[in-house]
Amino acid sequence: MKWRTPHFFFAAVWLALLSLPVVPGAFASGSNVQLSIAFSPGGALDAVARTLAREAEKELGAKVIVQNVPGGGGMTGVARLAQSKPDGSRLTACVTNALIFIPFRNNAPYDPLKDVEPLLVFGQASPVLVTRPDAPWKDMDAFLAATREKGGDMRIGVPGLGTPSHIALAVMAANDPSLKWRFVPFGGPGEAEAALLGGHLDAAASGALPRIKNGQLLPLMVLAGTNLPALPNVPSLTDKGFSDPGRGDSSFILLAPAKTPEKTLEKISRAFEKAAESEAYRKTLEGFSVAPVLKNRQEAREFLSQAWQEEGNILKAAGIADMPAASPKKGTAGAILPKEE
Amino acid sequence: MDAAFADPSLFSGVLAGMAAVASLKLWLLVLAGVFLGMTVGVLPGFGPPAAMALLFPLVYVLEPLSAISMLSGLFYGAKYGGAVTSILMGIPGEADAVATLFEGHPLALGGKARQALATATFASFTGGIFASLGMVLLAPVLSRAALFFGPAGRAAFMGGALLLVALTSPGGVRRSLCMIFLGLVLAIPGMAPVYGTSRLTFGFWQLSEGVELTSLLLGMFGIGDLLAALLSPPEKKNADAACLVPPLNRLSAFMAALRGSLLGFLTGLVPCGAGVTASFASHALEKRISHHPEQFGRGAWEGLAGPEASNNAAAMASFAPLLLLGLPTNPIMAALLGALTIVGVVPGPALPESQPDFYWGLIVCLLMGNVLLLALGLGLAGFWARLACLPFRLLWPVILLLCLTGSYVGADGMSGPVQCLIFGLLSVLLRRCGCSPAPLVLAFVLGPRLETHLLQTLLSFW
Repeated sequence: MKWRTPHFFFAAVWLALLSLPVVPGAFASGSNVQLSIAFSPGGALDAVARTLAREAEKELGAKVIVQNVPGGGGMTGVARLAQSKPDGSRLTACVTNALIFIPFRNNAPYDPLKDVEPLLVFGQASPVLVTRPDAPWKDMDAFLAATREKGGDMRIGVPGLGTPSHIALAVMAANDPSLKWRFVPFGGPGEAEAALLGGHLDAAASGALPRIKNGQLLPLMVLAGTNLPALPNVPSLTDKGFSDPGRGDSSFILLAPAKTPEKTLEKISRAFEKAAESEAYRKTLEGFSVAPVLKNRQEAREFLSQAWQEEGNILKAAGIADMPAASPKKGTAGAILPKEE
Repeated sequence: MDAAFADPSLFSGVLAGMAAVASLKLWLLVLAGVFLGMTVGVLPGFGPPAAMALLFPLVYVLEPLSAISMLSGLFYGAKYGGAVTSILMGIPGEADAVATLFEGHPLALGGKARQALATATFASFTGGIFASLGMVLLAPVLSRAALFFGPAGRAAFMGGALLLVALTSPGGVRRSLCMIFLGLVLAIPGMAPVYGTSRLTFGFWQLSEGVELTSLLLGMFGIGDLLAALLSPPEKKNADAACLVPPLNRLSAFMAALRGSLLGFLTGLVPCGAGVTASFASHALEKRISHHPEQFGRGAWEGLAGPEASNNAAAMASFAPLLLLGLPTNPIMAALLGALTIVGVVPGPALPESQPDFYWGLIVCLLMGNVLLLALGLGLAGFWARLACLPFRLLWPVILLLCLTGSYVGADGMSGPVQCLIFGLLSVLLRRCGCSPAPLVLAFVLGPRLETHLLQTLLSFW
C-alpha cells in the first residue's frame, strides 16, 4: 500500500517548510521599534509606557512592539539595551532608579551616563504605601507602631530592590533604628499587590489609584516629599517628619543605546514627545500616582547628569550607598561584560 | 456548578472573550497554527517543540491573543498529527500517541485506515471540546482560590511539579532528576532574576542574557530528533498479516471517548507529564470495562477512541495550570509560558479577572480551534496520509536548515545556531544514556521563577 507521490508535491512541501523561518522575519522586519519595559506587567510604568507606545506608533508610522523585561529593579532591561545594536530599533522604558541609584549600589554592567542615551522623561512616580482594607492598622501611625512592636517582622512588597519605593522606605529605616522591615522584591507593583491581597505581605508599594479609590487597597503614606492631589488626605514623607530622599530616581525615562545615529534619535524622540502630549496619554496618567512631568531630550540629559550628582550626595549622606542589605556584594561578574561596538 | 453560573464575572468574561475573538486575522492565524501543527505532527523528525521555537519570534509582533492562540493551535494540531502517523505507519510521533498505536495500527493494517482516522479525529474533537468547556467552568472556582498562592506556595508547587515530572517521565526517576538538575543549572547563567546582576557568564557576552530558550528547544528537539533519526537504523515495520478487525460500534466508541475526555481532563489539571498518563490510563480503563477484552491490541475501536479523546482533553486541560498557576506541563507549554511573559500576560490565578479579554478569548479560540481541527482532519485526510509517507532523506536537510535559521532569528545573532548545535549534540548524548530531554527543558523554564519565589520566601521569613 504505497502512495505514489508526484514530484511537485515534494517540492511544495519543501518550499512551505523553507518559508517557515522567513515568516516571523518578514513580520519583524521593516522599521519596527522594540520597546522593552523594565518591570513586569500590571504597574504604573507598564501601563503608561504601553499607552505612550500606542500613541507614538501614529507619529512614527512604524509598529512599536512592547515587551516586558523585568528583573533587578529595572537593571536587566537597561543592561540589555546597552548591549543591543544602536540602530534605533531597540528602546527601553525604565525608571531613573536604574540609572542613578542602582549603579551606586550594585556593579551594573553599564555606565548610566555613557552607554545609554536619554530620549524623554515622561512622568514622575510617587509610589504609595498601601495595605489591605482589613489590616489591623488603618493609618501610618498605627503601621509604624506595629512595626516597632513586631521588631522587623513586617513584610513590605516592593517592585524590585533599589526602586524608588524601596529607597524611600530604606532611608526611613536607616534614619530611625527602631524601624525595621523585610523587603520582598517582585518583578513589578502588580505582582506585589496580588501578594498583599493574598495576605502574604503586610504592605506594598503601589501606584494604582483606581484600586485605592474603590477601596481594594488602603493607602497609608505617599512615599514622596509632597502630597498627591488625587489623595489629599494621605500624608507624605514630610508630613510624617521623614526626610525627603530626593525624587531624581523616580522619573519614567525612555532610553536608546548610545551611539545611535543622531537622525534616528531625533525622529524617535520627537514622535514620543508628541505621544506624551496626547490626550490619551494624559488620561492614562490619571489612573496612577504619576505626575505629568515632561522633559524633552535636551532637558532629560541635563536632568540625568544633575540627578546623578545629587543622588550620590544624598545617598552618601544617608549612608545608603554602602548600606549592607539583601543585595549581593560588589564585584559580581557584571563588570566583565564588554560593550558591544 | 451553580456557584459558577451565579458568578457575574463568568458571563461578562465570556462576552469579553467573544468580543476579543471577532477578528478574521485571528482566525486565519489559528487556522495556520492548527495546520502547521498537524503538518509537523505528521512529518517525521521534526516535532512540535521545535516548530514552536521556530514560530516564537512571531510573539514579538502579533497581538498577545493572536500569538498565543496560534501557538496553542500548533500544540493540539500536532497531537492529531501524532495520531495519524501512529495509525498509518505505527510510528508514534510523541509518547502520548503510543496508546493510539495499540489499536489504530492494527485497524489500518486490517484495511480500515480511513475509518480509524475518522474515529480518532472525532474522539479527539470530543476530548478537546469537553476539556475547553471544563476550563470555562473551572475558572471562577480557581480565580477565587487565586490569592491563596503566595511566593512560598508557588515555590513549593513548582518544586512539587518538577518532582512529579521526574516520577512520571520515561527513563526512570534517577535519570529524570539528573535532567531536572541539568536544566536548573542551565538556567543560572545570565542575569539573576531578582538582583539583575550577571553571573556565570565566563566572560562571554553572548551568555549575558543566559541560554536562549529558542536555541535550547531547537537543539534539544529539532537537531536532537534529527540526529537520533539519522543515527538509528531504519526500523523494520512489522507487517503483520491483516488481522480480522472488529466492527465499529459508534455508540460504544463515543462513550469511550467521553470516559477518556473526563479522565484526560482530570489528569491534565495535574502538573506533570499529563498526555502520556491520560492516554495509557484510558486505554487500560477501556480494556478493563470492555465486554471483549480479547479484541484489545487487535483493533478495538473503544481502545482507539478513549486514549485519543483523553490525550486531547489532557492537552486542553493543561492550559489551566499554565494560565492559572504559571506551571507548564510539557516543553511546549514551557515555550508558551515564555511567550506569555513577553506579551505582557501574567499567568496566575488572577488572570481571568485581570485580563478577561485574553483569558476568555483564548478559551474561545481553543474551542473553535478544535472545530478547525475536525474540519482539517476529515477534509484533508488524504493529504495527511501522503505527507506521512515523505521519505526522511528529503526532509532532514530542510529540518537542519530550519533549526539553524530559526535559532539565528530567535537569538538575533550567531550565538543562536552555535548554542543550538551544542544542545543538539548534548541531546543525542543524553538520549544514548536513556535520558529524556523533556524534564530538562521544563526545569530550565521553571528555574528563574522557582528562584524568584524561593528568594521572596526566604526574604519574607528569614
